[in-house]
Amino acid sequence: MGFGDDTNPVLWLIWIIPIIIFVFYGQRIQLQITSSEIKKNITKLQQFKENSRKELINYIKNNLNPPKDPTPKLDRFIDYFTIMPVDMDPGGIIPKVRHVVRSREDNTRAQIKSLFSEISELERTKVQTLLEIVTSLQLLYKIVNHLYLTAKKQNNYPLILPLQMMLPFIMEEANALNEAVPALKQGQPIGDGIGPMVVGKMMLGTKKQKASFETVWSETKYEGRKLFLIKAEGPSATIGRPGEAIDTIVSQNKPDLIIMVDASLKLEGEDSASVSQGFGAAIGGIGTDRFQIEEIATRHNIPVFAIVIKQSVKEAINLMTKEIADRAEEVRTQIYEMINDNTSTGHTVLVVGVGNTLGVSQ
Amino acid sequence: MFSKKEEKRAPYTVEQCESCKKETKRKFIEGDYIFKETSPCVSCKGQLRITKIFGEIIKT
Repeated sequence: MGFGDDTNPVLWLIWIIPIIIFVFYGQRIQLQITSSEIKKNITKLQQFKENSRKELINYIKNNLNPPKDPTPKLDRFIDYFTIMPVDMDPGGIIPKVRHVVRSREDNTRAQIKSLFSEISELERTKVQTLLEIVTSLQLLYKIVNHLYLTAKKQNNYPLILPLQMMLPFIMEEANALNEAVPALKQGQPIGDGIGPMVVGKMMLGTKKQKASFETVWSETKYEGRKLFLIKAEGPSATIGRPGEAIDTIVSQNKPDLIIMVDASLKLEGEDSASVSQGFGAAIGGIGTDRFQIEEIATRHNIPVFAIVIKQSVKEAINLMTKEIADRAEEVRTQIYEMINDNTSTGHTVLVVGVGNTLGVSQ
Repeated sequence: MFSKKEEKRAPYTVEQCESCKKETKRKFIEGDYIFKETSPCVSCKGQLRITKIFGEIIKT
């Protein structure tokens, strides 16, 4: 008797049966356990998608008085897809990407306007941004659900592993998108708006002119230098077209230095709202604006400096935190220091505030 | 084990007088936006301007 006694057939079976089960059915058992966790997150994604859609429709119906029920048309927009250009031959792909993305934006803008007999630019940009959130949540739900159902259908455990690894990141983004809805509806500034907030203050009291679509520029002076300032036109929910605006200003005025101020995603362990300086075009998005800025800066041999304010995905698209808002003054001081250190009297500097300017005017 | 507590943030607006630089903080009202000129200052009758709008964690 005891653990060393391997002649007892009952004890022998107690050891050997689970081993046999795990050898033949281990992956299926793991698939079942993992599936239940993924299923919970899919249900959450479905709720996010449905709630955000409901909030968008209610916002339009209660605040913007559309002449007709906007639901069928909105449901069609939510399902819109974008086919990116072929990248087998990447030469010349940037203008193609820009064309596809612009066409989509222009069409969405026109479709939103067609829902109302009259709508202000602020409300139109808010609806457009809310629509983008609903579309993104719908896409996340569809992709996660597709991967999950495929793995289940094939009874294939390894197929579900990449999804299990990626899901926390997908859920972090989905949560952030879902929580951004109230701030957007009320026109409150978001964390990404810190760049426009910094440059917007520098623009106060200057004459604002159109630089490109939904983007403004103005001119001011600082210690013998001429400053050109660019930001998206606030307080609408827009990022403007900074690439085109910089192209125009640089072609006409040939600045000696470009300084870009933007929000940047922080690495885990980094402090939120910390400020860093660096080199290169500080601008996110699909890459077309960055390409345009890098191209014109290289052509004119202009150094591009960057100041970024670190934040998480959630902070970037939600109501601006006090910690981030409190950094605006410090960033402005750093811009002036950068100008003093890298230029001299008589030089021209271009300062660009990059980001969504919702709730931030100039 | 890794679950985090949900943080709720309430929106606040900070106004500053352009003359006496006095700052006042109040609850956010729909229609507020940064750099909007609001009412005259109660201390010096200068122009108040919104300088910040942010969310602060609600203490429970």
